[in-house]
Amino acid sequence: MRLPGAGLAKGLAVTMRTMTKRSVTDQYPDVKPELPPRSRGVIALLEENCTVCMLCARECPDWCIYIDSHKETIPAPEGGRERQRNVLDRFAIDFSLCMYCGICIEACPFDALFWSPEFEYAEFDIRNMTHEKERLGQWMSTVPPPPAVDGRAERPKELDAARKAMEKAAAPAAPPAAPVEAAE
Amino acid sequence: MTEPGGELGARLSATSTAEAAYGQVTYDVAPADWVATLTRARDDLGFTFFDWLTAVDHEADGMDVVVHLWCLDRREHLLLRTRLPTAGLSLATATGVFAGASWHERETFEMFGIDFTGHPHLVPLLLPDGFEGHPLRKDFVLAARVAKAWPGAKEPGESDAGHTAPARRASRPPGVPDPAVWGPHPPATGAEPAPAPEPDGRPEVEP
Amino acid sequence: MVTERIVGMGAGADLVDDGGRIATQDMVLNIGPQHPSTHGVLRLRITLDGERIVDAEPIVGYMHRGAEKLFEVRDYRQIIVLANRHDWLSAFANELGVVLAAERMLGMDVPVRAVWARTLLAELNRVLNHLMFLGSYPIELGAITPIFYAFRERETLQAVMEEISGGRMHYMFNRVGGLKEDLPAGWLGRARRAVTDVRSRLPDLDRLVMGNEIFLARTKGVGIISPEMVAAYGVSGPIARASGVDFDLRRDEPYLAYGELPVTVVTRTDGDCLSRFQCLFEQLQVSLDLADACLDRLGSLPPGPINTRLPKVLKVPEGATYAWTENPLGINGYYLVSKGDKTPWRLKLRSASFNNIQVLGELLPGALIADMVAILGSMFFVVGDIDK
Repeated sequence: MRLPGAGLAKGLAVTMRTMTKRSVTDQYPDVKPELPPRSRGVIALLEENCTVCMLCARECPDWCIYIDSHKETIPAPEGGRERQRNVLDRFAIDFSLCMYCGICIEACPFDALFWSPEFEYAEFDIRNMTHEKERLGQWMSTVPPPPAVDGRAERPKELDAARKAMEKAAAPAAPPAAPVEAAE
Repeated sequence: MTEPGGELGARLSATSTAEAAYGQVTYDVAPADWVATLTRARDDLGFTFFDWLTAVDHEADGMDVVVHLWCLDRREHLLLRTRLPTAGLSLATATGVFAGASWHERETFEMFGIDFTGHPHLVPLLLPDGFEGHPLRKDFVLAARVAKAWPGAKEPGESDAGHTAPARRASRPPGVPDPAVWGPHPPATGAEPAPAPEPDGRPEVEP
Repeated sequence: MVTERIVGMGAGADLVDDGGRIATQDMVLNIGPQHPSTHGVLRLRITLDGERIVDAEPIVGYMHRGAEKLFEVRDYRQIIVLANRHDWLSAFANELGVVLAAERMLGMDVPVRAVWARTLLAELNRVLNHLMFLGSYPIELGAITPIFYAFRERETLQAVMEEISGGRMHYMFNRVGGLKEDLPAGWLGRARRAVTDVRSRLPDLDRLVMGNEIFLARTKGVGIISPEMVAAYGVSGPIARASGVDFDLRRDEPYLAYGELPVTVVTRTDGDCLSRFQCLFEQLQVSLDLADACLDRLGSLPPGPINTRLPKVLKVPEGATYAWTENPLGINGYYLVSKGDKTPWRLKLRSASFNNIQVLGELLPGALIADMVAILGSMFFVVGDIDK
């Protein structure tokens, strides 16, 4: 025969024991959380790498990337022809539409977009959630290096290609020192 | 790929055909045999677990109503399909066989406009009151794809007003209707083809 | 005196009927769509005769977002991020069905490391989901303490999920042909520690709730679902198994690596609220064991890729297929019809909560209004999963 209230007492004993232990609460915002490098907080733009290829804007499922650009003619160098290049005028991401899928970052062929774990950019008005290239560029300083991957991961093809090229170029081949990084 | 339904098909319905693809068999029956086949599947063949019922719009070729049942004892699938002609989007209700078909039929009714005759409470399930149109029909235009211009339509280096990038126009992203047949037309261009008239006032847009 | 009685019976009650008894009139009560006990915007229209429910109609759709229509204008990579959202507590499991359907139609073999990593993440996702309900269900019965314990465990696991995928809820980590990227170095050890930590603290949760007399009194024998109802309505997951329906896709139609794992299917026979809660709790321990088995295997597999190189434009061949998975809340399936384009012609979403909540219309009549919240909470649903 069970004592009446034995179950209740057992539960209260758990509470009592927990009371003697250290609290697990994070003291945010006094103590900032330590977020892993892959954390999808905000998208940062490295403007120098952007060639205005439009791939990110076209791959975005939410249509939330706005890009404007114009063509600029580079005067012909001595004995050459004059060339045209695209100049980025506007690059904006509307974070009120963004679903944080990261497809734009995967699609970018020139490594101009990166994830940053930074998350403190709340606004009081939804219309202020569209961030222009200046703001996106500021987040570049918060982009962490990608973490090393598991030892059983496949070696990225780029590494092997790079080593071959190096061996070809220099007869006394130096061993490649690059760390194993995530294969995209 | 369509062939007579084999042993299981013959027990389901005398007129059924079967189509095997990707390791699964789909049995096709005539709309008139729908409820009788479902009853046989449940009572004689042990497909007692009702998974789901839905429809697929094949535009001019009509609409498929598909149901998936499962036999808990033998661990077997039954994918059953019937084709309704565009002129007669109506099918007898399966709620008498599987009580759980009720919501699935209500959903299919509001999304595709298929009438399930004999359903005890055939009213919209998920859509708000007064919603017009059947959103999962192929001719229903998704508002999110027409409410604003596609940012990807611009060509690199050609954002200024002078450029209109006609090459990109041809490849619209999925879901964006052809501007020649959908959307506002300036009155001056009366020679352009008017929006194709639709049987019940379509195309529509989500409110 | 008479006036007081009328108030007690509900407004508008006729005083006395022909037989001299106090006559009553049915009262219609709306629970929700904004109600603390319905977590989300589920609305119940309940007809009451005194304290007893005579009719109940779940009114759904307040959170309908047209996921199926949106799928049709997205390619298979874009669908993944949308498909993981309808049941926001089972994001990884939701993604799985989409990629499994596409891979089957493409005839694609997924690298073995990806298969085991997917199985591991699916089980961790199940633990996260169950912890949420193990914490929230007692709240609905008046016990607010367990959720703090449940959230401590969730945080432990979310840390490893975030480290590998970058997301805490919407992982977006599956891709057709594998996973987005490889595991971070040392992650297997940290995942192992998280699983061990959670397992070591489960007895706390057990002692807090499972023997609690009030909890037992509120849930035992309440809201009984029969196996026949389970089959007719397509109820699945822990709710079906609590009614004695021994059905678990991980064992009955193994996908991923489940065929090589000893999946224990947790069942009960009573079919009441308590059985459902017990199923959930025991499944948690089974999932932690499965996660350990996956970790063992991942640590011993030969080096190899974790994804497949895909063409620039991925087109799924013509045809139709149905892929279903055992999600934490029940069966989640995708009926994919392709006409050979980069977007699906039709992608029907069969979600667990949709079928599970429909049964309320038959389950609630006959119950007391005071038990309504106990029954509703024990159906372990997510409103986004009903409304799609």
